[in-house]
Amino acid sequence: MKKLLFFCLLPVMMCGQTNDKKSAMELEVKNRKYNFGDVKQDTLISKTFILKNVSKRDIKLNISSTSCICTEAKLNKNSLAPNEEAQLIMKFNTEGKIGESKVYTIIDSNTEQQFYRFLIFGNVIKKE
Amino acid sequence: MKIKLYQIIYALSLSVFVGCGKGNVDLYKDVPYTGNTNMLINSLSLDTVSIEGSRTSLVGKWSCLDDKLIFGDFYYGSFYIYDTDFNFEKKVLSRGRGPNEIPSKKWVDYAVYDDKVFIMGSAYDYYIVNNKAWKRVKSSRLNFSNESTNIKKLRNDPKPHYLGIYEVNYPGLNLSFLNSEKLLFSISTSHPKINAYTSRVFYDEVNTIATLDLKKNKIENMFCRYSSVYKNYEFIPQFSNVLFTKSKDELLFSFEADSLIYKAKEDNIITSKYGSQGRGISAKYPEVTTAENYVGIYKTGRTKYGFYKYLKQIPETGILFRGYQKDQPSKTDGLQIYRDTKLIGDIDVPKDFEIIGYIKPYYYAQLPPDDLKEEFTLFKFKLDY
Repeated sequence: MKKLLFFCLLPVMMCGQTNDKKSAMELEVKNRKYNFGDVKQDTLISKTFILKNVSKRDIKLNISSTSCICTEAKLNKNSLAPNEEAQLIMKFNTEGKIGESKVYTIIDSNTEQQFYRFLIFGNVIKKE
Repeated sequence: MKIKLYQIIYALSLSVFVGCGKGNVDLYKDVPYTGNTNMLINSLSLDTVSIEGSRTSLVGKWSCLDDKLIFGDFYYGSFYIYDTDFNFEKKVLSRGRGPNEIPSKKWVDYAVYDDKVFIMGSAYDYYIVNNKAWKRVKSSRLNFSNESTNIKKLRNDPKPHYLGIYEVNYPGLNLSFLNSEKLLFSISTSHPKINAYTSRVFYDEVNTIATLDLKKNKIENMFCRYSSVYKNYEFIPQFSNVLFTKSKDELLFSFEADSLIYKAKEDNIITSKYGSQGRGISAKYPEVTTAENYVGIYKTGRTKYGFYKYLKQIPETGILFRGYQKDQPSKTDGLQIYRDTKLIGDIDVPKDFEIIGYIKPYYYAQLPPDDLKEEFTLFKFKLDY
């Protein structure tokens, strides 16, 4: 009878555990947007964003996609221990761009939220 | 006499069998104008709602699906479902290879038809999802090379009827189901010898819409050449996107630089035209003389001049909306409302206002998302006339 009860409750217990895991995993990202203001064409914009693991477990990070081939994104770490920080370095090449411009990088993680979008934007002025 | 007869047979065979296919034939020349005007709508009363979007990528498209509003998130690979009071209900699909997942890293557009959603990925991958169970029922890939023309011929001697010279038309992509088995999507070509910047053949002979047979996974037809308006210019690549929407057994289509809307039957024969010029569109487009700096030309050209942005037919009410941008400076966009071929309204709307669909008794529209506030703006309104 005890065995039967154990097997009946097993899926519920596992489900609870999974939810605990998910809710315990959290990534702190203080700022996901950067306004570079007005820049001249051909300027290379670079911005570093910080992502911190504020959970009690390891978090895995990957660059999922960027919005344009003009955008380069690099993570200095793909796995974060608790309290550890990672840097996302985003570079936007404004060659051939003009006017209001915005580019994204999407980070994929094993947190509940899964995806995080980082945006850099501003106005590109035609070079003389 | 023999020559004349030959010419007639040639022209007829082209229009009957190839639609807007081979040869430099003006398929728009003798199309009758059937439009008229009776202004019944002078303004819209818009209910405006802001929707928090920080859990989305903010990049995507809103649509109406049955009695729900859905946001397809192009980067996160999910649909967010809302009721008609804009309350969030659930998120469906995610990225991955499971039955309720889409492998694509980025979607470029989607279209809804009955119980199907067609999703196009950025690598020519496409998926069909059942929108009741939200299960992926098909995965495949667009193939522009399923013809006998060899690569050398495609490269050195391209012809406008060679499928292999075409590509999906980014960023002016338009998708629409023709029926449950066929999907229409906009195409273009950037071939060095046939392109919008350096070759007149582009405006005279290339096709702008392709039909994808979803059962055979094959692009089976290309049609819809540029209309006569494009004969007034040498090169205007910045206003060369085709607009189209399905209406019962007909296709309605137009172009960014053309005030006319064309009706075509399913065999792609143009049967009539109608439509009135939008207010504040001078239609005096600067011609492009260089292929350099494509992005700059596209972007700066499109911000200054008025042009037509989309067609949206509402099957339930028979209303056709056409959105347009006015010449700059202008604080508003324009929205034309047609019933059958009659213009019944031409009103000012917020900039970048776009109709997304209809859920009885309201029409719904969107603005581009606010990237800084991370929120969407949606509208609902009724048409009283």
